[in-house]
Amino acid sequence: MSVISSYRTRIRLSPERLVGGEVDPTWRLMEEAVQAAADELGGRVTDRITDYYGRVTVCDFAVVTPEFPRGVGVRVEPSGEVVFIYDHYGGYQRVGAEIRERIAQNYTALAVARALEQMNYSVEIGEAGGGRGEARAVVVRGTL
Amino acid sequence: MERDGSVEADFRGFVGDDCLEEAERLAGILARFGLEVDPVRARRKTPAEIEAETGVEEEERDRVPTRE
Repeated sequence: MSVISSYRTRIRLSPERLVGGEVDPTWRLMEEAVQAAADELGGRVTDRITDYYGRVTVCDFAVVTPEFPRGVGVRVEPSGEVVFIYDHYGGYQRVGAEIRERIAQNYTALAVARALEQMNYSVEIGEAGGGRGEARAVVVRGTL
Repeated sequence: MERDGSVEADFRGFVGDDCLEEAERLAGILARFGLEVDPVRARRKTPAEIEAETGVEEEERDRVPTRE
């Protein structure tokens, strides 16, 4: 039988960054997802964001782009839940959401790719859509 | 993987319930990588879709005659 299934996803990191003296794989994935989002949007990775008033908030990860210099932060709660924080006041709603969605989408794609690799699939990652007015989708293909 | 975080999985070329077992195994490994997945819906592919993917026509079986 072959099926097409849809899933809702939720990212939940290990509550601790270091487990047994090593960076937990979930934190490594988030680091990669954040770096990929920064590269895709011509930005950089940092550990802090600013708000409208210039106040600084330190985060576990943050992406700052030319379009949104205040940045989008990623904070990992003690439960492992991931919270995105940014100040979109003044017309930054769309760019802030785009960075947040990119990070989550990249994390999901990387997690699926790593999981398929562990299941001995050969994995390719590509993109679909993303043209003018079109939502970008990430496609992970696993072949046995 | 869509922008809203949803995922569509297209399982191809599996026989019997193999794809369901593989989907469960994948979900278990994804949880270890920090991604919890909740199934929203699943649709079994039509014989025509399977044939288009694999080039194998689903076998038509004759009805077994029964005695009234």
